[in-house]
Amino acid sequence: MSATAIYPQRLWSEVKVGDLLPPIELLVEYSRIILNASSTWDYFPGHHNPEYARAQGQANIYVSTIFFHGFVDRLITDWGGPSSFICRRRMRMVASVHPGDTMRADGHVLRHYRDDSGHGLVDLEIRIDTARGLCVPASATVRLPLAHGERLFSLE
Amino acid sequence: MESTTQRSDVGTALGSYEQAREWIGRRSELRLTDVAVDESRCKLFAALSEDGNPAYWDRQWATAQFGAPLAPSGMTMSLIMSLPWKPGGAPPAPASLALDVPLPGQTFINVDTDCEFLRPIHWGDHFSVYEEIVDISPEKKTRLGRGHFVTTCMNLLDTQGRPVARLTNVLYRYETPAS
Repeated sequence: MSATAIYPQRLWSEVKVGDLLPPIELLVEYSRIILNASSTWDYFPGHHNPEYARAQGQANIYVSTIFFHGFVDRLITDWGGPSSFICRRRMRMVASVHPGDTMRADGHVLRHYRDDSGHGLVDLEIRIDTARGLCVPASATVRLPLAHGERLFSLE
Repeated sequence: MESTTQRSDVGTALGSYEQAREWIGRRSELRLTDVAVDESRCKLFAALSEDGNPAYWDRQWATAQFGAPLAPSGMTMSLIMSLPWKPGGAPPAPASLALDVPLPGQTFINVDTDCEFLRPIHWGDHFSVYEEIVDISPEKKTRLGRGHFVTTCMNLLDTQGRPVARLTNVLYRYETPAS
């Protein structure tokens, strides 16, 4: 693509409370968990050594927090568009994701407002599930452009 | 003093809760991360989640929009990770100050994160980081074993000293039933 490419971008004014974010899914194979370790430089053995993970009380090796960060952020920017800016993201890891699991993320718009600077913000409620149930409840605050072509940050 | 600290096989410092409480409020030195943000790391991380955001993949478009392609915000915590080995034999910096806190728990798992982003991260950016111990809980019992929740706050600064992100993290340091 080129500098003239046009990618879909959601504007703040196009969003309303209750809007659903299209769900995303990802199969977590062994190879993806190894990619998790290599792409994040997180070589803690619970993420690549089944024997260590089981000694920790886990069923098997498991994906890392940073993977969850990336997966949730993909859900947000797939929905919002590439000029969305994630201002804040909170999450809790309440259950692990292991090889063979399929992770599914979905979410909805909880709040739609402007801050004191006039920025267009939305608060999102998000969750990641596997077939066993909820793994990661999360929330995020995202800034969206007010108009097409608006730069949220000046070029430096 | 630090060299006499007993450590587990994954590098966690071992000690008592009473010793650990002295760490609340302690702040690490400001540390320059090992490498600057680069294209291959950003694309590999985006590939992990199959994230096709053109801000990470379309150099021309992203440069026109943001001044340079962006790093996925989700990889921010990985940017503070150290290389596993460097010439000279110096041990890598721990992934978190929470691992340096003397506690009975040999192993750990991350349980909670709160990440605030103040500006986008571009290819080529290079950060310094410091971390503070915010809180250490009394002993708790969970399905994984007995342990302590350690809350830390990490700040990333750019080369001009401007804050870029603030990561508050809760990590559970615990003893497995078998240990």
